[in-house]
Amino acid sequence: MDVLLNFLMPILNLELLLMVALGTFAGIYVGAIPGLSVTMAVALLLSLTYSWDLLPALALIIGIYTGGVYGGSRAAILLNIPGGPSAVATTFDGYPIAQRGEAGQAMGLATITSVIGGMVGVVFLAFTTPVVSQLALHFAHRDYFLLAFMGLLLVGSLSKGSFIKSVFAAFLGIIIGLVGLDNITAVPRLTFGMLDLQRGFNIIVVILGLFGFSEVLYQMSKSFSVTVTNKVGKIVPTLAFIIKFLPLSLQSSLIGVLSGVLPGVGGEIAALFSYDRAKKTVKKPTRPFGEGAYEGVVAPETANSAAIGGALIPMLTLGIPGDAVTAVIIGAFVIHGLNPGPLLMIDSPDMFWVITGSLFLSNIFLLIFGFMGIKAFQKIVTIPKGILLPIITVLTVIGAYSINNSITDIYWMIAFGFVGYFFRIFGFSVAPLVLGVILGPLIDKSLRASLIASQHNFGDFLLGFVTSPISLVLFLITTLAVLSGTSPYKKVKSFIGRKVKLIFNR
Amino acid sequence: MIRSTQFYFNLILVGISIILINQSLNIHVKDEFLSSPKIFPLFLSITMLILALVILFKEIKSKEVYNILPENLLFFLGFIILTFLYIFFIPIIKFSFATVAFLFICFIFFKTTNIWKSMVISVGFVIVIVIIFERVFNIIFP
Repeated sequence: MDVLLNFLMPILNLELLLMVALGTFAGIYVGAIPGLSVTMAVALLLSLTYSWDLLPALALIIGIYTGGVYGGSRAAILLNIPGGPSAVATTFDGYPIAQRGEAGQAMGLATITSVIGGMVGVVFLAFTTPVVSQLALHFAHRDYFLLAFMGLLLVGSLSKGSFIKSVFAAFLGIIIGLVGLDNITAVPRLTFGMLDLQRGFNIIVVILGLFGFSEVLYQMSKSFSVTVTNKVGKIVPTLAFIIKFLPLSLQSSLIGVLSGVLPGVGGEIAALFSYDRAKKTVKKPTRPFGEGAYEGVVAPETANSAAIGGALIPMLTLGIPGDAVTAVIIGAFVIHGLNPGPLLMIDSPDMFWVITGSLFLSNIFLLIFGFMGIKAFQKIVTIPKGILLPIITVLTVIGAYSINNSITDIYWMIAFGFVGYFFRIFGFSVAPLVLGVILGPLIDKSLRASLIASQHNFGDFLLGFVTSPISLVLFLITTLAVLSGTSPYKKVKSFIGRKVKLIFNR
Repeated sequence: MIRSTQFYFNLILVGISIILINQSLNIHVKDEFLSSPKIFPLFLSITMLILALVILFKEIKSKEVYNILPENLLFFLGFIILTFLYIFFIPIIKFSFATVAFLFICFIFFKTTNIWKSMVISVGFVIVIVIIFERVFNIIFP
């Protein structure tokens, strides 16, 4: 009974209800503005809510978190600029859909599937917390290396055009991610002797440049007679349309939750994983992937919303953040004198259920504000190119500046914008580069930490992949993922398929 | 002419890879080489050099030509110059003045709307931005 009351508290308590509503509404617009990250908004809220009671502060933060992750899809669909890292995969098909004049349908579908993903996340958060967090607790560095390496294999499906160029871009991305002080030995790496580079590149600055400013440059290089306007069209999808994508939504929700649970693998990786999975498993997409397939919007949008519930699981039960936002939320707990971890569940289980209830409520508000906001957001796309592009430039400048209050970051953002622009016109994909920046540090750290754990013995390091059950399973999955892209595997697969068909036909 | 631009771009990639190899070799090794901070960047940069050379030779043989010239070169170059001037002037004349000037000049330069509308949009946008970011998000603009 206590559990149910605590879960329903955000709904029954007017103050908490309003805080979740306000947070979700603001989050949608914060997330939609390129360069304004959810992490930044939550971090800023910490300073604003410092003197508040914990529960209203948490209700507001949870609302911002849910709304912000979803809001990223708006700019991704309408402008081809992801509002945040977790909306990167949404641009692949979201923007082509918008170019066909069906942006409303894509945004409507993104709203509904985000809510489905969010609700699945809530269910998992509520029921599987102890089991999944126990499993994640047993992960070794070697397992994180395998997970990150698996993430890098997505380069294959993210590449448009030359695969070699995509691999080059991914490796350059990893190098960019490694710039700065090494997080194991504190030795400066790839800093060219510049003191400023010792803190490394902020991921938001890189993403703003590669997706935001490079898009501005690309649009500038095109004719001005065409404005960046895409007809929004019908917004509310039909029930049949939603049901059609329900199996994919559930599959993506599962990927999202599991990705969210693993520390460091946040909504962006969940969305990319899910997009890749959809690309491989959906036999007959509405259109080819990359050309405006609705499945390409459903998969990442469901997964990144489901990852929220997943990311909260290890944070609340183990004190390990699932992603950057939950790392900041841990700060909120500490500020208010609480220590997230196994003891939190014993000492204040009410806190856990209030958070779960707030997440549930924020998804309800997402459904309401998500549909309301589309009409208002529609006006942005009717602005002429000559007005819209300078305004986006100002927003990217503010976004880059606001992270560290640094003018240097603006110049870096511009530099990455040029990198993205030249990569684009010379046939290189930008997405693998971003993937490299995100996964690079994780691969490096986990690989070296596992080598150190093996006493620098390479034989022991390799043996570790087969002696630990978790590593063995991950190793087999990774190997299968590598082999699945090769032609001998495809030949064997089709041979077995033919034989099986023959047996069943008899 | 266009073909040679492609060639030079690929040469730049080769050059970047060589610079990165040099940087990786200069990373200080404190303990075991196998788990040192040098090993991974070195592996990546060497692989990048190999890939850059493959791309270079493949495109020399290939007949694919990339159109790199912007459709409106004047707008493109003008916008880049304006953007750099904007960032340069932000710390000198305050963010709000620099932004109003940047937006206003851009709107006039792109002949999107008339002078009065351009002024209203630039000033209006900056007011909204300052209110939202300074008041709500506590971002201190330079």
